Amino acid sequence: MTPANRLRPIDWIVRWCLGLLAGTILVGVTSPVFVRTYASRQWDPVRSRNVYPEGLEYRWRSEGHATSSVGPHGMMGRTDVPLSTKTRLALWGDSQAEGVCLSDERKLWSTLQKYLLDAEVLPFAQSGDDASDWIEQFPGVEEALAIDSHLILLHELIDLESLATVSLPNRKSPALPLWIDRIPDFLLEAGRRLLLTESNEVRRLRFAIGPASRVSKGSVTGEIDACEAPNQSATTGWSTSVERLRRGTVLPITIVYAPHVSLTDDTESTSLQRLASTLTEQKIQFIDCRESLRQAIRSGIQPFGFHHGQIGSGHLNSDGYHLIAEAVSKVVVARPSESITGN
Amino acid sequence: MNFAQAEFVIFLCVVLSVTWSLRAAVRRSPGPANLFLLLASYYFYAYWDYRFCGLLLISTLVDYLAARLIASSTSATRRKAWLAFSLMTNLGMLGFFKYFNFFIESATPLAQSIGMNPSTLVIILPVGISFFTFQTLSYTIDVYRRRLTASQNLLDFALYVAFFPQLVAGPIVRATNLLPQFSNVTRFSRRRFYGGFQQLLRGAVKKVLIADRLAETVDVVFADVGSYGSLTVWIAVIGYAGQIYYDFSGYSDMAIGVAKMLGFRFPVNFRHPYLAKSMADFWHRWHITLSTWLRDYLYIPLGGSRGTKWQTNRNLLITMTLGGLWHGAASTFLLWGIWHGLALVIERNEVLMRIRNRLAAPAKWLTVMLAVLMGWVLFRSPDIETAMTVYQRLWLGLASPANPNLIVWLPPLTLLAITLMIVEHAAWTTRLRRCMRLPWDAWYSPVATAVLLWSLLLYSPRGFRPFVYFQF
Repeated sequence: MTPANRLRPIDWIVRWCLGLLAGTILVGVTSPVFVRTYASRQWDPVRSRNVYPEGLEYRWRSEGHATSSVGPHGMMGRTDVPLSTKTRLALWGDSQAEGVCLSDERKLWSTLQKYLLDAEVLPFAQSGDDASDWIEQFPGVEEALAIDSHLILLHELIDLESLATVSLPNRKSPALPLWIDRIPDFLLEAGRRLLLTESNEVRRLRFAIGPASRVSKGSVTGEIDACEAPNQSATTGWSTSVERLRRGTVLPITIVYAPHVSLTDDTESTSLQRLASTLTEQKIQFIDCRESLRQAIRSGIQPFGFHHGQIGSGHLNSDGYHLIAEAVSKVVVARPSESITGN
Repeated sequence: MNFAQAEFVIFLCVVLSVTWSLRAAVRRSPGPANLFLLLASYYFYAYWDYRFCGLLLISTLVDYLAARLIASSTSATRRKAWLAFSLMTNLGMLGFFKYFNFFIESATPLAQSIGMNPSTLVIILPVGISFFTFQTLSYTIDVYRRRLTASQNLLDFALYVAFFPQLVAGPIVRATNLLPQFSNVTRFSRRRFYGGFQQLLRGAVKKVLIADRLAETVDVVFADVGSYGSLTVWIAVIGYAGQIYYDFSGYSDMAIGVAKMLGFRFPVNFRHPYLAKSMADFWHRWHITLSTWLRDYLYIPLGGSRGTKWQTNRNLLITMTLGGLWHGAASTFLLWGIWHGLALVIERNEVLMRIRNRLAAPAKWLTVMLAVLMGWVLFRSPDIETAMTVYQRLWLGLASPANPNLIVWLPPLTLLAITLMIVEHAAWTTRLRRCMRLPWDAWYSPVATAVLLWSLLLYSPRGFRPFVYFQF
């Protein structure tokens, strides 16, 4: 190969252009190991919302490191609609229930199926969802997929509280346009990092001299922060939220509460007692997993986090899902004859 | 503004363009380009906090004046007086901003026992004060010692003090090195510019891809050491050793690279300290500009190794203790300095030296690494209690209530960082070292450059982590 000091400038430029291109291709080819999937969502008439298309292999590469198969109706991790006559349980929640940090066989829906031998669990949880999203989808999935009951994994009370104030329909997503699918994920990731901060705000450059004052402009995608609805439980109780939830379906509903827990203090007891009694009045089953989560932590098992040092923070891991499934299996029984008639 | 920000990239592009354009336009004098660099440097510093610029200006004017007066005085008493004036001003500023609250808090128990109740102040620590203070002190001391002629050009001297690549975290560049470069007309060299760019890129990779990734694990463990088992804590301590080396050497590389792109040469600040075979060797490789500063302006004036063994040991201990204190106003830094002082003293013991000389090279290396790692525990711990807990976990293997395997699985990018760390140290042959610098004429340089640039963009941790040495 010709030494660079004998190259003409044009040859040097060509060498560098080709080399940079080769390096870029190398990064592109290897990037799936480290870069998540970016994909457009498509309208699903059953769920009345945009979902990832069936057949997509969805990579998650930050907390946890897993690839999820997307099934019919955007079910994350489940690639079939069951044909059996077992009880069908629709699983709802947010990213904690969606489980993209784990492989399909270790997700919550799969773990639940191992504990609930007579049930088929259909996962409809999606990151960022709250109660308004769930009740909007109830009618469609009940009719199209013959659902027998609903199971909601509640990680934050705000996801249920917000139902008191939000107006429906509350259509969220479409997240990304279709042409996104033609662009390699690593280019999209690069663009996202350049244009958005870590909290998904538009990056604003500062050139003014300091000291700097920081002003948050609000999130672009809405994926990270739940909207802060006023704390209904403190003033009007839970009645409005729970009534709206109850009116969303005539089928049995079970709510499993699995928040991040503190070993030392418990500030939610009063609010949760009110919630539990309100749910009971509306014939909604309530499973409080806090004590079992605390017990696990005391015995050295961390239900949250993915073994890279993030103790107690982040998403439910496989151990956390087993705890929840065990708690659910003790309580939930398939009871198609006990559906609640709506008003 | 720090080197890892998007704003800095834009700032650097502007500075490079304007500087080289001015030099091309005014070939006979470096003045216009130097003036622009001075203004850019003050803007760089004001980006943190405009109030800090006042300190920089005071330090500049005091030392410029003091050096001129030292040089023009024939009386030894007057020369000493002007030197003392410079020392008191600089060390006074450093002492007030950095150590006032530390000494008040340390003296509080004693003061309260005699009925006094001293209060601390809310003091903002100016970024880089430790660095530029030492830099200007070296100038006046060298003028006093007649090793250097006092600068007659205030602009060049002001630029020497404020030059942005090394202003906030070094390297500590001597006036004998940098001032002559400012007064010479600099010609553009593509090879040097390219070398500077590659060094800047290497520094960014070290800081962002390796140091910050390791920090993710290290910070979590040190925030709650009591919850982790022995293996986890060992991983965190070794991880911290990697973090601080790659963070600081990464910053140094970026500073040296930027200076090179501007046509200036900075001294090397690190030479693979974790390959050292003795503690003395470690300090010839770690933060070289600081260790040589301490040697030339503290250790040697105290007597160095010219006196008795006891005096030499005393001088080593004092030097390293003050070196520890330079890093921060905390007892852990003080103890870290004392630790290294003791290690150097113990290494000079003749009996131990004979034992060490019989050891194979890997064993020698291991003893040095263990000593350095135990020192890093002090350096990293927020307080002595945490450091003691870490030592217990490391050496007494106390079981923790938490799952001891919690941290064994590390995410792929952290494993990549550790791999890069091991490869960079272990594969350090002369031939490979040249390859890793991505030479101008190598066919693989464009490919590797693209891979590094994309890696910086794609694989850096989200969320900004300041350089560790910015706190000093």
